[in-house]
This record gives sequence, structure tokens and C-alpha cells, in this order.
Amino acid sequence: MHYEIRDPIHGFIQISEWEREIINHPVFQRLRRIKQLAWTDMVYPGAVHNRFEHSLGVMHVASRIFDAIATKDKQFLVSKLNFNDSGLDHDRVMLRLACLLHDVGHSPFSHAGESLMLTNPETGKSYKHEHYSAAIVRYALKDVIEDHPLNENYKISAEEVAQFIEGSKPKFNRVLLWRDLLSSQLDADRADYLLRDSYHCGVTYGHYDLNRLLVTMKVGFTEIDNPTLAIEEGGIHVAEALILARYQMFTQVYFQHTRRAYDHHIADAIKTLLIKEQSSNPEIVEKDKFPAPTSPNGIKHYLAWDDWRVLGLIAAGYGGEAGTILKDRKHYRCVFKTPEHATPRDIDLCDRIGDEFERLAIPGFRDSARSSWYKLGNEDILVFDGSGKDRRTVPLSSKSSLVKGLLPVFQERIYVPIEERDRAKEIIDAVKEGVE
Amino acid sequence: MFSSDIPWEKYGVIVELTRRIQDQSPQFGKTVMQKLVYLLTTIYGVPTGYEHTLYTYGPYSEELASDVANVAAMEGIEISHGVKNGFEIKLAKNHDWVSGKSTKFINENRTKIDSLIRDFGSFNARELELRSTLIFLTKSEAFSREKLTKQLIELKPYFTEKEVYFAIDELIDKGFIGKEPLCIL
Repeated sequence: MHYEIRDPIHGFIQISEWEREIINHPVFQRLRRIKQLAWTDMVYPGAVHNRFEHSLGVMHVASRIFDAIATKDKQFLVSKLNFNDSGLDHDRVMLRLACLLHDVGHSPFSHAGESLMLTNPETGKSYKHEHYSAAIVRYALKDVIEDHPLNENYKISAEEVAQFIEGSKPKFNRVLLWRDLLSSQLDADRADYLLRDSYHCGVTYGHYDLNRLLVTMKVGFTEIDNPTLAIEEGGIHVAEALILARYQMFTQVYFQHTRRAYDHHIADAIKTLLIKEQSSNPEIVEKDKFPAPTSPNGIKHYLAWDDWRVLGLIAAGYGGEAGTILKDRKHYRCVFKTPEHATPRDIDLCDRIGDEFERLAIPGFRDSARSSWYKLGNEDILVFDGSGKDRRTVPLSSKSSLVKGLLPVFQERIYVPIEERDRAKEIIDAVKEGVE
Repeated sequence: MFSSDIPWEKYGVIVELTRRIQDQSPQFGKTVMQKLVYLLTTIYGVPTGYEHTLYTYGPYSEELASDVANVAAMEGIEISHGVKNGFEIKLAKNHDWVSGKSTKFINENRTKIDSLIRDFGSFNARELELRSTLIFLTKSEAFSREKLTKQLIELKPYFTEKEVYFAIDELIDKGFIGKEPLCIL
């Protein structure tokens, strides 16, 4: 039995009974209450979509790419990589589950809340939403994944799905081939969010030809004989289009200056709410962070946070100064920014301005917008080398001068309250004169 | 309030490794950088803040790949197309400027960086891929020698059993993994 969900980007998305049960689970339904782009609707009013529809979209796109490859390359997958029908069926189901659940670990307001995640003592690095997604799969979704009658056919464990999402262990071996569909520079995640975010923002920057992309993807071999997903030579331009779409979306939407200010304010407001909630709990040391994704109890508390709860508390006046800024739409204003590709001179100037603002007790904050929107090297998209022999691939950057020349975005900005804007600009002018 | 959150310490590690190894490594490119930073973090305990997952060529950090691109964009290092389709990394004109912002961190960890260069600096990308993948596997689970070899070859069939055995012995000899069961020390 299959069900269908209508989606604004992909039309009808088919789901199985098993997937339907997972989607109906409160943990997945929580994604309806996590906005995809946080407060972006303050700039692009249509951007009120959520992680729920994006997660369905990623599962759908990944399945389409998988099906295209499994159909076109069936003979090759069977004869060279030892797949059979049940193996392919298993991997497809695994891929769909991982894609469906890859974002269940998002905090309220998606990436805006990631700055409030604790540091993993093992790595010295902050946890990310992927760690929460994997932990939620392990602790909260184990039963609904493992106990469904359809899983009798696959014997997929929650642990395997969690490992697929976080890429933590190589136990899935051959399934590793398909992980690129969830996490790579040509993955279903960005294939969906570029189209979806563009649609809801009302911009056309994120457009590319998904149908063309689908028919050009195949399985090839890396230079060291690893099977890998790659695109045919004829797909180079659609891959370029996807990369450019991402660049445009970053510079025009995700890194838009007012949007970045709202990310800062909402993170500050949530921090205030966390401190209040956790102040009386002696077991919590860092009271301005979300619980770590390392225990069922921590995950239970984490899942209680969503956009609705945060907004309710802000509306009730518990969000502190940042909450008031959000309620009154009095976001801080950008008074200084470096070019999108900051040079050492630009960064030093930004440092000097920041120091001067500190000295004069100007309130505000500094924002760093950084993204390497195409990575050369190991993560390069692979393209068939054109010889037709042995499915050899080469990096896209060796074939595309457009991709080879890409520079990452690296932009620093300084924001102050609107009342301080004129004074701040005078100080900036004085600092610039001093430098020159 | 206005202090920068630019990860200068991470950028400093990238420049320092380039400075130390650009003339020593047989092919110092992005793969070698990835593996050396992984080993520096995992074996020598330098808190680089990078987290590696298993990727086509072994342990890989997406964040490190981004940071390498960022340091290249600010001309702390230069990345050029090297032999075949690989990349070659060398110091660029602003390397001292980048280093100057992470002097304290680099000085605190200099001895560990010295050890990394001594133990792994002369390996090529393929040799580092094998050793770092063995470390990655034994980090999360203890193996018998046979099981570890089997697991490695399943993942990376282009390595021979002899090569894998040799690398395991070498890592045991150097004290990076314990004897049976094989696990990271």
C-alpha cells in the first residue's frame, strides 16, 4: 500500500506504510514546527516553509536519482558490483529512511540555533544537527524503524540508519556508494533545498534542471578504483548550474545582511530562554546550551524545543532584550561590511573598527559569513572522463574552468542598534582615515 | 561583542603543516592535508576542532576542506593543479599574516606537530590513506588482525593484504595502536 503527499516542488511524493508511520511519529511531526530558513521571512515574506516538507523532498529526490541509476546501470551494478534485486531494494529503503530522517535533529529555527549546541568533549568541536538526528534515530525512533512488519524484509536497524546519517562508521560498506546522495556536492539535500527555498522566497536564483541532472548520473570508478557516483560528460553544464544556483542563493538569500541579523537575535533570545529553563538544574553545567545528544533523557529535553515554544515564550516576554528586538522588528543594522572575498587588509580594518567600538562601548555584534560553495579535491564532483573506457572519472574542476575559478565567500559585517547607526558611521570614517 | 569568530587556530594549523611539509612530502595536496590533520587530532591529541568521517579516500573533514579553500582565498596558501588530477599546496604571500594570528596555539602544540612530521611526513597520499583509515577503524572498535585487514580490504580493495599487514605492524611498533585486540591507544 502506498500513500501520496502533494508537494509544491515535486508534485506527488509517494510513501510506504512504514514511512507513513515514521512520518506520523511526533518526532517527525515536530519538523512542521521548525522553519527551514528561520526568520528569512522578514526579508522574503514567502519563506515560511519548514523542515517537514524539505525532508520529504530530499527522500523523494534521492529515490529518483537512485532509481535512475539503478535502471540505467542495472547490468553494471549486477555484474561488476555484485548487486542483486534484493540488495538494491534494501539499499533503496535504507537511503530513503536516512534521507527522510536526516534533519530530525534540527534545533528551533534550523541553523540559527546551531550556535547553542554543546561542545563534543571527544572532538573539541560543537555538536551539529546531524549528531542530534543520529541520536534521535537511535533513542526515539528505534521502535518505529525496527518493529514495522515491512522491515521483516530488510532487517534494517536504527543504528544502521543513524550511522548512514552521521557517516560515523563504515559498516555499511557497499551502501557507502549511496551516501553521496545524502551528503556530497551533488546530493539530494541541496538538490531539494535550492529549488524549495527559491520557490518560497520568490527568487529564481536556485533554479537548475533537475530532470537533466537525473538522466546524467551514473556509477563510475575513482582513479583508485572505488565505485562512485558520477555524471556523464553531457551533464557538466547542469552540474555547473547547480553550483552557481547555490552560490547565488548563498549570496542573495542565506547571507543576506538583514537575515543574518535575525539569526543573531533569535540565537540570543533562545540562549536567554535556555538559561531561564536550566538555571535551577544543578546537573547542567553550561546553562545556555541545548542538552547534548548523548542520552535518551538529553534527547527528550531537546525535542521539547521547537519554533512554537520559542515564539510562545518570546511573546510572553521571556526572550530578554533579543526577544524584544524580534517582537518590535528593531533588528540591528549593518554599518560595515567587507567585500564578499575579504582580503587581509579588509579583515584588519574590520578588527580595528571592532576594537574601537569596544573601546567606546558601542553595543552590537560582528558576523562572519563564510561558505566554500564548491570544494575542489576529495569532494569534487566526478565526471566521466570521456574515453568511455572502464567508467573512469575525473574531477569536475579539471573540466570546468567556471568551477575551477570559484572563490569561497568570506565576508565580515558589523551591526549596531539603529539608534547608534549615525555615530557608528562617524567612528568608522575616522578609523578608515587613520588607516589611510 | 565585536571580536572575530574566524578560526585562526585552524587556519594556523593549515599554514604550519604546509610550511613544514611542502618540500618534504612526495605529493603535498588536499588528501595529504586531510590525513595529516586527522592524525594530528586523533593520535597526537591536538585540539584542532576538526571532525572526520569516512569518505572515498579515508578520513575526511568537510570543514577542513572549506578552511583550506578559505586560507587559499586569503593567500595564506596556494593550491594549484599538480600531477594527474591532484592538487599541490604551497605557501602563498600572506602566510606570515595568517600564522601571526595563531602563534600561541601553534607554539603550544609545536612538539606534537614535530612528532607528526617525524612519524608521517614522508608518506604519500596512498600510504596515509591506508594508515589513517586503520586508525579510524580501530578508534571505534577493537579488532583481531585478520578482521581489521578484512574490513579494510572490503572498504578499499585496491590495498593488498601484504600492504595492510605491514601498515598494521608499523602502527603497533610506533605505539599508535595496541596489540591484539587492535585498538587505538
